[in-house]
Amino acid sequence: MPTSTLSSLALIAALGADPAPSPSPSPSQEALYRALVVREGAPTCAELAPLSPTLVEDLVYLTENAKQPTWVGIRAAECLLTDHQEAALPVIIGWMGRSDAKGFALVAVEKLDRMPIDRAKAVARAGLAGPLAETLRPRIARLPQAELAALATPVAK
Amino acid sequence: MGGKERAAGRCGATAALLMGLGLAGCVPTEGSGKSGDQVSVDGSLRTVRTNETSQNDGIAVVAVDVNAGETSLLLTAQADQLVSVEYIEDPSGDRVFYWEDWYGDYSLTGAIFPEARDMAVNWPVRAADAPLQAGIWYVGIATTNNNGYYVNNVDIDLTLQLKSDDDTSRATVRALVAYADGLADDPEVVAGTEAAVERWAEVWAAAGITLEARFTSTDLDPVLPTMYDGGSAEIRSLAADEGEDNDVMVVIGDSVGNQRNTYGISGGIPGTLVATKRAAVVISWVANAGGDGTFEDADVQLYGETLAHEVGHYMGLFHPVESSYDYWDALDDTPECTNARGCENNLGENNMFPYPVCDFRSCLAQDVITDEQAGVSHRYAGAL
Ligand SMILES: [Zn+2]
Repeated sequence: MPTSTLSSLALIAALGADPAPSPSPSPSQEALYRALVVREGAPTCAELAPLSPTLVEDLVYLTENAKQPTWVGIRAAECLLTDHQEAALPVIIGWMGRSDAKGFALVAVEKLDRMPIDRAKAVARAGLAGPLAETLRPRIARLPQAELAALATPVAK
Repeated sequence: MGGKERAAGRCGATAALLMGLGLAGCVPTEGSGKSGDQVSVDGSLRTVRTNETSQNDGIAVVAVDVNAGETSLLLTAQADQLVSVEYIEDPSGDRVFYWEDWYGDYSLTGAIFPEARDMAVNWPVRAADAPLQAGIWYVGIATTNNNGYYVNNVDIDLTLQLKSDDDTSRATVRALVAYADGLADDPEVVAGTEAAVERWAEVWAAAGITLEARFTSTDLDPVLPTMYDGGSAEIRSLAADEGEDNDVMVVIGDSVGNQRNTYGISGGIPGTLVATKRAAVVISWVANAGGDGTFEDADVQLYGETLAHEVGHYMGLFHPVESSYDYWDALDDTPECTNARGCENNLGENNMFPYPVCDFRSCLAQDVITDEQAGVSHRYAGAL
């Protein structure tokens, strides 16, 4: 799996609740934005890699700063979830606990089957413990992996 | 298997020759008037259900008996092999459409591509195309396998829908908006979608189309089936149970499964009005709400324009230019541009442009529909 030199600190900074003015997009962030803006048939995550020497950082930037069109941030999140989940794990866990990241959290649940089971369980648990639990619970319960689905199913005492 | 690649197919020409000689071959064995056909009339839409079998050249010839006053034909074919349109011939025997003429830089109909086991073709598409006239038309339907070879003796279920409507300036399109499981209970999704449907109606109103939308909830998995690999039995069942033979179904889910990076897909260009595995436009509400999962005003505008765009595909519209800037639609009033700057300047506000023109914070409204684009929509049999 591709990894990044991105530090967890930088990722956690990207999660900051304080909406400080965003820096202008770099050329690579612009290039990724242009690639992801199409309505249909966007490039795959692998096809994005040549566009940026700092792909994970740039994708995180897009999730936080590309407000329109809405699907650019969603596609950036998907790429983090499928191809860069280890490097982006603090960001992903962060989404699961944020009421203002419901869209990203829903995408994360859909991609749990692309994660090693322990990582997937950690992400799912973060969602079920947070403010989005009501939204995420039925989606997690529907997952084909029994171990994950069980997390959303109340255990009879 | 026919053992013949589709690109070499010339059955239609052979059929015309053999018909002239009074011989068999690709000549239709039976037409839409044969016994056993089911015929129904709903307002200005006449529906005929029939069947046909591909002959020894891998082509089924469907005879369509067009009545006086009928202005559009929507033919839907379903089989257990890939189906695509080969040709269309008018009552005088003139071939008014041949698939290979449109297998290039300009797109007229997606029905030429053997991409699924169902297919819809609408005729005419443009004002420049041969108009329907009373008499027997022939539509050649190719049955091919996944390797692109013609396959013989394939049974095809056919639905012929003929519209009587010579007013191409005003029409009503009925849409069934179906929520996947649980979404109808999410106030954010419902409010955002209803507001987006209003924006969709606004975009279409400028093109003389009145949108009549109704909403329903379903138990479909919110991870929707993609339309790219044949659609799904659930979509066909939903269309059969909840849809009508004169409405377009739009299914709203969280995402479009297994089709990464695509959040709105039309089940064909054009799509069908009857129940097939691809009888829907599928849309991800999450992709239109964004990372925060809420619908702000700008999100609603974009969502509504996306609905108009995707259902525009369903009614037969292509992008005026693809995002590679080297394929175009077949219309004369959408400028032919060849690079990002030129295309965005000329077409960036067109509803069928392949991407919204945005900076990171906002997008241009995309609500322009040209006269010829409106004409394509009005000629779709579902625009009544
Ligand atoms: Zn499109």
